[in-house]
This record gives sequence, structure tokens and C-alpha cells, in this order.
Amino acid sequence: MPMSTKRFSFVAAVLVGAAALSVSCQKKEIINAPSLTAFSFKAADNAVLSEDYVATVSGTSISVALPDVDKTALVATYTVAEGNVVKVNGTVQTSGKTANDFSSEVTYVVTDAKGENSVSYKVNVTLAPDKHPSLLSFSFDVENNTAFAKTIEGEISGTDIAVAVPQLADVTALTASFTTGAGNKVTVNGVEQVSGETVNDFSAPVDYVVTNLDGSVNAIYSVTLNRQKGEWTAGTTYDAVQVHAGARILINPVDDTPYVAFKRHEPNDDTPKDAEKDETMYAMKYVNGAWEMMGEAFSDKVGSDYDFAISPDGTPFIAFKNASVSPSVTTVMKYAEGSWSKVGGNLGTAATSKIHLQALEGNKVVVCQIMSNKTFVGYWDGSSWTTGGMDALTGNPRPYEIRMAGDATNAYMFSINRAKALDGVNYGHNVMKFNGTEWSGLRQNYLREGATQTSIYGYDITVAPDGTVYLITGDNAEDNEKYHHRVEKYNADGTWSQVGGTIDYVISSRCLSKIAVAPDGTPFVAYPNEYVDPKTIEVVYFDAETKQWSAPVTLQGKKGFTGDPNLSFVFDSKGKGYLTWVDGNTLVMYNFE
Amino acid sequence: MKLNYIIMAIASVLVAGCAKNPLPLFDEPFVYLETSTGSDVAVVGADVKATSTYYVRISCPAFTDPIEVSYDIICGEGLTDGVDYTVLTAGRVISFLPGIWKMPVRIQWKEHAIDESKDNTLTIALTGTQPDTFTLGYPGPAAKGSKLVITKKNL
Repeated sequence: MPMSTKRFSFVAAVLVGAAALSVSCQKKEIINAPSLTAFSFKAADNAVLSEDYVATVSGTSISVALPDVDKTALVATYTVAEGNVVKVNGTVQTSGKTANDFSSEVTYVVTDAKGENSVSYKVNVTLAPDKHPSLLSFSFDVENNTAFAKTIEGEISGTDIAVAVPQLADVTALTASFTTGAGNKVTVNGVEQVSGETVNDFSAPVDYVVTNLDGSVNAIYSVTLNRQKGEWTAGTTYDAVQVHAGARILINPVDDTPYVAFKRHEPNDDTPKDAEKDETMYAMKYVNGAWEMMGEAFSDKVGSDYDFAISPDGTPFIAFKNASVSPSVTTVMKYAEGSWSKVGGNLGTAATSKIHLQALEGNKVVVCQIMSNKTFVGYWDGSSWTTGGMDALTGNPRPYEIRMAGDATNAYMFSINRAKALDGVNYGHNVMKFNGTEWSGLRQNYLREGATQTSIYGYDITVAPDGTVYLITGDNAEDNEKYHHRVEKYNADGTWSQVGGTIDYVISSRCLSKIAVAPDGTPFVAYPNEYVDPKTIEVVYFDAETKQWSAPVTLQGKKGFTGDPNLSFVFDSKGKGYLTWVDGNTLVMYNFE
Repeated sequence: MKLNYIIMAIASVLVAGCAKNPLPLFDEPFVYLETSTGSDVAVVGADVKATSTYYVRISCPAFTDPIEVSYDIICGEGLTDGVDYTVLTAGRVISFLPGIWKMPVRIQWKEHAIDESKDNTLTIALTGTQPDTFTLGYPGPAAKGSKLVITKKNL
């Protein structure tokens, strides 16, 4: 049926209206002009950065200061107008994703959605001032310093740099090589330093000031040269069985060989126990760089204390608290013709402790120990024991600790009285001498003037190769509440004199130090440094030129000891030093040459 | 009644506890001297031939302009400059650049026997700061660390 004209007109009007409505309802496309308004490098996107860095956007210039990091693959985060497309060198970018090399200027081209208009933004990464200007390395390279036979690296600890140099080296004109962060300036007394070029006099400590790029932060590094008599090197450890604390090294005067005696430790880990051998004595000697056993499990069960001595004719002796008997008194054994045997009967009538031993010529033996809260001594004259106390000489107050040393004909006992055990003197100490016939006092119930007490840590006694008795004790006479090591020697005229000033290290608990004297008469002191983690062993020596104790040399054990490392320290006749300690049931040894 | 006594006793203890002097609060800038082990006294042997380092330290918030600390060296009658010691640190003013909190004062000790009957001390004494807002020594009446006394002894 044909449509009427009227109806056609109506339909046409409706269609035109609908078309008009359709056109008007269609959203008008907005084309945003190219615009980049924010730019940054976020730590989350860049492993080389430790924090976020926001750039300054000024017109089409973008600048950001970064620390001295690898800029070859940095990921930028930026904000652009909606619909804008960003490209770098033709590559489409994704904010927070795409990495670029910012070692040089990078151009970000931002284009509108139609690709008709674009703006180029130039991004420049500059160097930010170092927030922590520091010296990263310090050395005296051999090619720049004729005073040295090899390159010597400095040890940087905080802002102190220690450099161990040969004792006789001329240090008045040395050229240091160093590194620091980018942009930093290094000066000494205001003079800018050039690594590997600038010469300084290092006869006194030299202060290097490191200044960052804008001078906002500085640091001062003090370089001190420590003159070394020789060099410490790690020797051969022993861990075939677990070594109990108290291992002692001695030099056999006959063959100049190091010998060690120790108690086998009962394992406290997964190591299988050995009921026969655990807690018994072992002995070995160090030959051609290896430990050679000279007796395993040759003793009864050993209690808490033991000691080791070698007589002038080369016979090794041990003394130990015998845990196989009751009460646990002291047993002495000697090594002869390839086997160990007991020396006389046991020593004591009650349980003993703090057992120390000295062997004299003729294989005579002196034992000092604590029994029933008294000092109890035994003397083996080659055929029988003579025992007794020291009441007549010392009043025999309750001792806190005992040490022994000696030479071919004399034994010396150092002891500390417990608290105010005698005449109200707080931890007074004694040095007693036994000449094979009688005891005499070199120092009795002594407390240094100005000191609160003799330190109950940091003491030892030794006899130098020339027969001089050296004593190390600790006191607080000169540093208020802090205790320092003090070394003294006993003179031929019967007086004591101090060797150098006190040693800088502040004595800590368990700081059981050792003193040994080299054949040239130089005293060395070794002590555990408990202020570092892991704990280390430090060694100082008395410098005859400066009359002061040297800066410490740090020796690192296997895994850092816990508790008392039980140092033992000797020199052979040629001046080679042997320092041992027990580190995690391993016997660690360092050698000095 | 007995309970009242107990309550009163507890209250007394609490009141006494509140009245206890508070620990000193070091909230003011100060400058002090000390040895490498933190002491304000030291002993050096008369036979020593070595350089010792003593430290001037400042305690204050971070700063942007250098801080200057003045000090003096006071020599006892028993010691002679150039014979018993030489102060290696030039001048008597130490400048702390931003970021530096500890500066050395170095004294070279010379081997020379001393007369024990005389005053054989060498004292490093702080005299002032610029800006002058720093307390000399630790805050408190003792002014610990405002001077460091080194005694030369025949050991």
C-alpha cells in the first residue's frame, strides 16, 4: 500500500530528527596537546637507587641529580597528558617500565594522540653531592713509593686508616693512592690531593679531609702508619679432634720445636662421643708445617684445669686435675722414651684447681695450685714430692688466680688475692720466686697507688730469654674507671720498672692476655678484642725506639671465639713467634716472623 | 588500719621515686676533649718518642657553617716546649667543617727525663667557640672534658 504524502513527511521528519539527535549525542574527540609535567626515578623501579629522586621540569628541560650510580639502565616515571604518546629514539615508552641509558642527555618526544603535534623534552642527569663523602680505599703503591718493596694496603676502620709498614722504612715522603666517591675533593691541610701523585710526610698521622661536591658534608680520615717488626701469618690449625680450652704451646729448648698439649673436648654437637678418649690429654708437636701426635688419650680423665711444661733438657710434663679420682687432686705426668708416665703420686688432699706447672733443669717440677682456698705448692726433686702452702711468706690469703713461668733454675708464681683477703688490700697481687730450695717474694699483696683493685683479667707472667721476669697486670690507676694493661719487668737491683705506658685497649671481661718476649728482648702482648664482632685477637709490641706500645695487629680466627679463647704465646730461639688459641674447639695458630 | 599503713608506705615510696633527680639531659651544644679511650687524663712516659693524638669533639645538631673551637696549651713548670714536647697541630683554633664531629690535636712527645718534684703536666684547655653557643665541657658543674691533663712521668 503506497505511503501517503503526509505520512512520508512525518517519517522523514522523524528520521531527520533522529539523525540530528544521533549526531549531537556522538562524543566529540578531544586531542590533548603533548605535555610532560612530572619526571622521577623511583627506588622501587631502580635497584641502583636507595631512594626516590624527583626531577625539576622547567619548560622542556628536565634535570635530576643522582648519586654516583650506574645510569645506563634507569627506569623513569613520568606524567603526560592523556592520550600522549612518549618515545625515546623512536621507541615507545611506558612510565615506570622502560629503561634508558641516562649517561648522556636523553630526549623524550611526547606526541599528541593524532600524531600531529609533538614536544621534545631534554632529560639531563647530573651528579648529586655525596651524602657520605668517604675514602673508599687507601694504599701506598709500590710503583709510587721506593720506600716499600710491595704495595701496602691501608686498613680502613671508621674514619681511621692504619697502614702497617716495615719498621725501618723512610716515611717522610710517601705518595698515597686512594679512591673516593665521584665529585668529592680530598685535601690535606687545605692542599688538594691527587691520588698517586701528591707526596706527604707520614712520620706523624696525616688527616685527609673529604669534601662532597657542594661542600655540605665533610669527613676527616686520619692515616697512621704502624711500624711492624715482622709479619703475622696464619699457621696450621688442628681440628682432628675437638680441642678443649686451655691448650698450651711451648718451645722445646732442645730441638726448638713447638709442642702443644691439650685436653680432648667431649663433643657438644653431633660429633660421636668417645668414652675412652674424651676428656683426656693429648700432645703433639709442629714439624714441617704439620701437627705430629706424640700421645693420645694417655691420661686419666681431666677435670677443669691442666697445664703443660717442658724442662730445659726437653722433657715434656703435664699437670691436670684428675677427674678419675676422688677427691679430684692433681696428677703430673712426663713424656720419656716415647710414652707418658706418672710422676710420683697425686698431689693434694682435697680437690684442686688453677693448676700451673713449671719444669726446671734436672727434670724437677714445681706445681702451684689452689686447694681448700689456699695456694698449695708441690716440688718434685726428681725422686719425691714436697708439698705445702705459703703461709709464712704471704699469709696465704685465698687466691683468685695463679699463673706460672720460669727459666732453667727458677720458677715464678704470679697470684691475685681474692677481694680484700689480706690486710684490706683489694685484689692485691703477688710474685713469688722458687729457686729450687726456697720461696721468696718479689712482690706481695701489691696494689698500684691510685688503683681500685688489680684487674681480675688481663694478667700474665713470663721469663725472657735473658732471665728477666716480665709481668702484665691491669689497673685503673690512670684512667678513672677503665682498666688498662700495664707491663713491668723485675730488675737485677730488686726493683720493678714499667715498660712503656699503659696499653690503650680497655680490659674487658674474659680478657685473659698473654705476654711473650722475643729473643731480642722485645715484649709482645696478645689479648682478645671483645669490642668487635666477630671477636679478634690483637697483638702489640713494645717499640724500643718510641718507648711506646705499638698499634695493634689484628688476627682473625676461624669463626670468632666465644668466651675465653685461651691464648698461648711463645717465641723460639730464632725469634719466630707462635700464638695459639681455641676457636670453636679448633686450635688456631698464627706465626710471627 | 594495717592496710592503710601499707598504702601510705607505698605512696611514700612512689612520691620519693618521683622526687628523684632526673638524669642530666644533654640537649645543649657542647664541646669537649678526650683521649682515644674517652678519658680526660693521660700519662706519658718521660722516655717516649712518639706522637699522641687527643681529640676535640662537638655535640650539636647538624650544622651548615663551620664551627670554630679555640683552645690553649698550658705547660707545667717541669716541662719545656721543644724539649719535652711539641704541639704538631698548627694554631690554637680548630675548624669543624659540616659533617665532622671530631678533630685531632697532636702532640709529639720527646725523650727527656723530668724532675718529679715539679709540675709535669701539659693541659689542653678549651677557651671558646664560634658561634659562642657551645658549652665548654660536658654540661654540668664538673665541666668534664673542658680540659685534658697529660702528665709526663719517669716510668
